[in-house]
Amino acid sequence: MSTKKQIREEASQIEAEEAKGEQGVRIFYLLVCLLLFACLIIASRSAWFLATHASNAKDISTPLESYEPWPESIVENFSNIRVQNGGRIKPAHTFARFALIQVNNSSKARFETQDGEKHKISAEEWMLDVLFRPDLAKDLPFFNVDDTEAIVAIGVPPKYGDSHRKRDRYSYNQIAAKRAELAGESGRITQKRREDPDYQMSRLEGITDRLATNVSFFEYMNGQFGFARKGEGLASDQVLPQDLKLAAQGMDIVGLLDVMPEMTVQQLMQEMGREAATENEKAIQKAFQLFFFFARSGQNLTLIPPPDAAEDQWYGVGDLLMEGLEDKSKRAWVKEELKVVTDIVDSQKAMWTALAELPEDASNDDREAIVKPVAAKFETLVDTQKKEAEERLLAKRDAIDVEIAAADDSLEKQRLQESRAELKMEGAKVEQEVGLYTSSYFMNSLSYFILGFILLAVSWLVPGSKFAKIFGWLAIGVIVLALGYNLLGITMRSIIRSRPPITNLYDTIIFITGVVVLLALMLEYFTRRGIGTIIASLSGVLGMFLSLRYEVKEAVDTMDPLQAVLDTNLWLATHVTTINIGYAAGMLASFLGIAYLLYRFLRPLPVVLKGLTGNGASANTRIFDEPKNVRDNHKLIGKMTYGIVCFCLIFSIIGTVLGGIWANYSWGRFWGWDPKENGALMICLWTLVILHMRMGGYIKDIGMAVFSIILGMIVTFSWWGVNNLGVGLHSYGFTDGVMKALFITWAESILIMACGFPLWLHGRSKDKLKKEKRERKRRDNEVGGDIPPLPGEV
Amino acid sequence: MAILKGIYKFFSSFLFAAIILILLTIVTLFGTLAQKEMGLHGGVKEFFHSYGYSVFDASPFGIPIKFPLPGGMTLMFLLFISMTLGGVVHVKKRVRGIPNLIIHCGMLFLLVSGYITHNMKRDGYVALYPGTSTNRAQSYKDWQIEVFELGENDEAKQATVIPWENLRPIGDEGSQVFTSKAWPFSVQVENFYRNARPIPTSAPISAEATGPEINGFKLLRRETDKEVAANFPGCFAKIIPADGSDAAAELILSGTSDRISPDDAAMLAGFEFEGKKWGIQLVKRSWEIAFNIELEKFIFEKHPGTTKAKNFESRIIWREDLEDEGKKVAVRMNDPMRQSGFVVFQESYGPPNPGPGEQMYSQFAVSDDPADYFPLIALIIITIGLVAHFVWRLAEYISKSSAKRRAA
Repeated sequence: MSTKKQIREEASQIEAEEAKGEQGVRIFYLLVCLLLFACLIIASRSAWFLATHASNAKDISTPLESYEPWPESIVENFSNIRVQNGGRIKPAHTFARFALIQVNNSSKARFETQDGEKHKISAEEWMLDVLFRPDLAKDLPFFNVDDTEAIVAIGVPPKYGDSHRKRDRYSYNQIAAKRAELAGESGRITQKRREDPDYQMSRLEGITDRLATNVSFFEYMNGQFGFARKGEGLASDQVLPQDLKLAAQGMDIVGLLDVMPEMTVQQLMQEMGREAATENEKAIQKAFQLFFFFARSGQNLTLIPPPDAAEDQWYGVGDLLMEGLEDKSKRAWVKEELKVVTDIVDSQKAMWTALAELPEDASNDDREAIVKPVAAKFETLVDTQKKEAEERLLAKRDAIDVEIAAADDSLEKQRLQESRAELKMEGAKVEQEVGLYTSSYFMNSLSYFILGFILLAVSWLVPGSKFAKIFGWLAIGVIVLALGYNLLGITMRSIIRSRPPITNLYDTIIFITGVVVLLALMLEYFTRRGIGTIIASLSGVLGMFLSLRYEVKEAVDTMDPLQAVLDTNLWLATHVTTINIGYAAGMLASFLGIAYLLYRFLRPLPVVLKGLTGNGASANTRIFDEPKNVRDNHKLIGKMTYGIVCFCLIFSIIGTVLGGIWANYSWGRFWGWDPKENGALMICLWTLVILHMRMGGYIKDIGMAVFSIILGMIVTFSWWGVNNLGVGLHSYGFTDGVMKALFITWAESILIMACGFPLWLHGRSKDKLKKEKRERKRRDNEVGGDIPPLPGEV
Repeated sequence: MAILKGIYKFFSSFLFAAIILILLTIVTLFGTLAQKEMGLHGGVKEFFHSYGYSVFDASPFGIPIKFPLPGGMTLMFLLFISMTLGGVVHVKKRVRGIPNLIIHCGMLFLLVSGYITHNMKRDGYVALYPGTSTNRAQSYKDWQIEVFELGENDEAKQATVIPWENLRPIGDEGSQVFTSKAWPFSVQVENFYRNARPIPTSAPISAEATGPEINGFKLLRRETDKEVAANFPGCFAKIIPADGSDAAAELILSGTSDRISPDDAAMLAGFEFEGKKWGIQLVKRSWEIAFNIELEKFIFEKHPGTTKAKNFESRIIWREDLEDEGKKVAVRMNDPMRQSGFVVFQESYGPPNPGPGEQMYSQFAVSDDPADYFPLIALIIITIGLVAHFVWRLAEYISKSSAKRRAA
């Protein structure tokens, strides 16, 4: 039988050991916290770098003395011009936006003129400069070069003379002298890729290749209306030799159509290559060469619909020149169309001259008098395009009606009727599209999510006060507004395309963000503890930021038409939407798991820090001991996680099976073990693992949290990772650098999951303690008297 | 009895279900990663359709990893057992448990339908130029050797077939003798390469071929392609007289073609035996479908100014009897034809980059799956169960928490 003395000695021995152990736990704990904060700093630093890199080029100076911005009315009218690009009719606004993102890595161009003024111009203004102020555009620094070494390799002097600076922007004139070297380097890379289709470009090769493509694109755009400029604003000597430039002075390229014989492009090229004996022959040859040069340059901006309504391919000015060359009967039409463009080019030039000559004290009315007729020309062009689109639609309908009447085959008749029903006016939603981009729904959404989070953070300064309550409500209001912008943007995109919300990878980002925020707000509605609001604001910031980054990184129109295989609104609306709701729930479950672990793990940090300075609680108080309200809070997060995992299961299973049914319906196989299918299957399997383990009592709240974070890792693998495997039907949307970002995310997830381990140990030791307490009580009853509490016992 | 009870308890436990589900997740993950190196089909065969165990041996993230994994099929069988015992037999029979029971029944039905499809479905393709017709579908990957006597005008008589199941195990270095009542000889098949080309000895590349030269040709072994349909096998065949004496003929058999197209033609090898002419060829396995398909017209449209396919559509006429006038049907992407248990899908077209004026062919996938509609039925069952189960639980939770709030 134990004596009181023995029990006391036993208790103090345990206390001493626990205290010793506890000290070690605290040091280890602080180290882990340090690691977590280091991760947080790295993540924030990367986010800050990504968010600000668009403007982080140090030297954005241009030799231009000053910069006169484009009048608003001209920019506005130019934005609405219809252009055929990427298989659809889109506003010039969209075309310019993605072109600038591709070249400049940002949808705005920034530069500093010699008068010390800093300018930030939109993509449309940049495009107007490239098209109508070609010489000025050549001095604007908008060619993004991710690594100075790439520019040094082709012989361009680096800015600051420092070849190790990472990112900078160069102007065309800075690169033009080494144009041939750039083309040579790019040619070598192309050759390597041609010889070995699996060849992986090095980072520098990638940068050089992209720069070469961008410079070439600029030259095409720069020369787009060159035919109408009578030899002004032409590209570098390496693109168009000096003697040809001289020959182009004052030459009427369109007028050549009056004297040139009808010939094919091949015949024209033969003529160009023929030996010229006399001066006259040489002059003719130069004229041919210039004609060919301008015809080749003017093919990117396809803004002229074909005269025949049955044709779908629109014309660029260069295509028109070629068309006129090959077919004499079309020359009158070609000249008429080109006259409109020439007129616009001339009026722009005249406008800038007139504006430059205006006295400094000229009134706005004076300026307006000069600008208005020029803006009207764009307006007329837009009106003409609209009118032509209406006429083309009517003509197409009439043509199909004739075909339907003539069809003797019911199948053909049915197909024609379907085609007729599908006929839409070209560019019918151009104005809405311009509205979508100028309203910056997604940028606004991001800003409001950030504001919402800041308001929340402010409310934490004085927890429990009236002030905190007001700011908490304000935060919810702002987050709802941010969500509203997100949903409005998604709806607008759906309306513009006449499609369900998701048709490509970009859509999944904005959609999943919207669903995560919506679900988090719903959780907040049911629980009212502020947890849903924090997750809503943070996931909103993360998702919207990702969507903007994705747009810049991919630099392609996110509303391009679909491949034939995806052209089915029924399946896009059902399978794709459902599975993405499943993804969203999986991500939310993972965020809740992270919130659970970090909340419990970081909560004692202030106490431990105080302990270091000697002001904290005694060393024998265990750091993970929690008061009741904290226990209630994390139990609630555990419940929320469970609910969301169930939600995830419903949508993932239904979405996955629907995908199989689509595949069976469309390609005759329900399941093909395609990586994307496997990704969805893994989400289903893992949610089932979580639910079965919880039901069996093998995991409790900590396990739920850890397993939910793994679910998040699986979702990111399925959402992003499998696209990079390059296998199967779903290997679309290849994005560079995604794997690196995924690895970082997974590593951070693992670190957070590791925080669950000490919590689990703590839980176990508490259970042990409870058992010991029961045992002690039993002995106490046998011995009687006061016995000191065990360490950690509250 | 106690042991049986213990086994039953274990197989119906949550722990067993969780272990199987975790293993399935792991196999799915690594099977998917392996597909990057092994190709889609290779990965499926190795990891998902395997019964014993498979070895993951790849460098998914640039790091070589090698370890064994249980076979996907075995795991799915165990999952079936777990679901049957744990989700259907062992559950408490009460009203609250009905949705859960429905979910498990739906999942079991889905697994069964998957098993039926796996074993009984036939997948093949038909490639046709406009104006041509066929009533046979070909396999993408299975080949067979056909041996037949030739008539006076070199017309083939009834063929005897050496099926894929017997050819595949021969392998690169193996050899196998086949006999048939229909032949007065036996056929020895040697070196069955999964991907090979016959090369004339005059071509410099023929120096790389290791086998014997036959009739001015050598057989050049090529790397097995990850995409299973891109492999065209080749082998050597010796015609051995019944008395076992020296080979009467030695031949190279090859699948030859470079692509799936109607231009595919078997390379027929002929030989004489005891005064009679015989033919032997290595061809894709093919089977009759319930009707004849004629391609009337192939429509191919791209999005203007791009290479992106907007629509490809085949107008076909199908006839149960060649004498029939036939019925016209349009087969498009996402719009197949279902007829007499067969489904004809618009799969592809060729040649991939047709020149101006070049005639294009249309390729259809043809499948007959007895479990065609089962997944849809399973989905309906599962959805009913899932929605009932979770809506019920959510309603319970909400009413409980609002009662608590009221009480507070």
